[in-house]
Amino acid sequence: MTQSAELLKGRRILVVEDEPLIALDIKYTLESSGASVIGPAARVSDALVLAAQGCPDAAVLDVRLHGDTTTFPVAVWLSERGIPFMFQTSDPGAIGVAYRNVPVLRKPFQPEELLSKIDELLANG
Amino acid sequence: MSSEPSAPVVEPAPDARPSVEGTAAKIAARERQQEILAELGVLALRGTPLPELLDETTRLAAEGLESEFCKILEYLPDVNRLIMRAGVGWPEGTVGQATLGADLESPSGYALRTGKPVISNQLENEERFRTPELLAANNIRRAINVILQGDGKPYGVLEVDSTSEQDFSEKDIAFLQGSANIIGMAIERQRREINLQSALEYQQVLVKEINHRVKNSLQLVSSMLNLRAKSQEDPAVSQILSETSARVGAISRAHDRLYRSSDVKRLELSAYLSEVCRDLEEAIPQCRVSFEAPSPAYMTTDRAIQVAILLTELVTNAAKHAYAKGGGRVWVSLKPIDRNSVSLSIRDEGVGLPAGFKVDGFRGLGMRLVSILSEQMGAEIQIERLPQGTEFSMVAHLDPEPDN
Repeated sequence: MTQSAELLKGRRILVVEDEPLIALDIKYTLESSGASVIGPAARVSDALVLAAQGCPDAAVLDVRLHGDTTTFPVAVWLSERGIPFMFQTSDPGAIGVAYRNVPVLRKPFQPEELLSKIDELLANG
Repeated sequence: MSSEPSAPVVEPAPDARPSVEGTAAKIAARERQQEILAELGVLALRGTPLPELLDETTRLAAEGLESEFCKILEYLPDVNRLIMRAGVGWPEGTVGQATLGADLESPSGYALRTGKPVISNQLENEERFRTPELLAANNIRRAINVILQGDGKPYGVLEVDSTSEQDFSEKDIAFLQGSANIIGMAIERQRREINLQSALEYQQVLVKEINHRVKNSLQLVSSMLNLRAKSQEDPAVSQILSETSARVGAISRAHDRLYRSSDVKRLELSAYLSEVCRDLEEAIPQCRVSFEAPSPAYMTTDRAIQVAILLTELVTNAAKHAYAKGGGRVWVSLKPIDRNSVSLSIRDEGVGLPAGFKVDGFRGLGMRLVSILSEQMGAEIQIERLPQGTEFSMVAHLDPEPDN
């Protein structure tokens, strides 16, 4: 039974995902729980600019982006500022040990799983 | 495999006069050569690591031909040269470093190119070939070269060199070519093992990549359904789309488990269904799904997915109809009956079924799926009306783990 993502209301969530449909799904899911979404960004450079401008409360990061890049630079940026984040990926093996304490949402996921994971993230962050 | 040496290239030798002592010594030398061939055979069969095998070969070949020098040259096609991979007698820094031309003008190049053994007993008077600098620098007067051949391309050349004046003979060729053939086979085997290993590694990378893509594609399907659900004004249609997305989820869990397991044909049902139940609990608001399975149960993947879809339908149904809006708990259990079958039950404590309810008499897609899937599995759905709530159950046949 999911708590209807109470903690999400009014929070600013950075979303990095390069697949437009999945990005849109995440955006709508978060917005339907009252969060406001920064992004979605499909590129690391965009994500860093948006993050710096948008002051996110938390972030949801895809791991592998097109062109064999990863979102780890964004993860570093967030870590340095103490902003909680989670990964969502179909390839958890690609996440290094450096991030073993970061929550991981495995693709494919249902909207409810995303919400409960991010709720946990906000509660613990 | 060139098991027999081709007609050797031997320079004309001056007449030699045989003596009794000479003959006895020759026989002893031939016996030692036979022993060496046997030793090499054992080393090759044992799967001795290549560098060690090559070192031993040069040592034994030099001994067999009573010579001070021996080397194994590997052919480097890119630069058309031969590099010394192993050797005895050479100055320090030569083995692994020195290279020689692989053209027809050099004895080793000639042996490599033509596959014919080459004997040069008087290098200083040699007219057929130029004498490589390495040999001249070490005062080598005679040389014998044979090709090191695997099944495919030649590996290189085995060469024995000496500063002494005795001649190499055609019998020496037989010994040296025999040694080279044994080693050639071993090299070929190791080459194949390396190729197999790299093919396996490539395969593993491929599987990982495909797995990644399948999961991404399933996420796309799921996201598309979610987006359609959210853009629907009719809540009933929206609900159906969300449920369909959850069914995609149940199928993808199976994929995920398969990828992590070593057996793609069978799934362990209790771990799989436990994940499906957890997904369902998250997907259906106001509903708690408890799952219990006392022991592992194995089933073919296709049927396990059918069971998961059936379970998804029955749990969704219980949440929707048994509890209406208030929500409640659904108990799922997978209990062993015997070694070959389990009983799956889905129980709620809701309002109970409408009078006259039958699985196959129902119009909704969910129940139609349940009916079709259970029929396909040869299982009958039992419905029990409890004092409070309802229990659906069925017996499913397992495909138990083979005894090891």
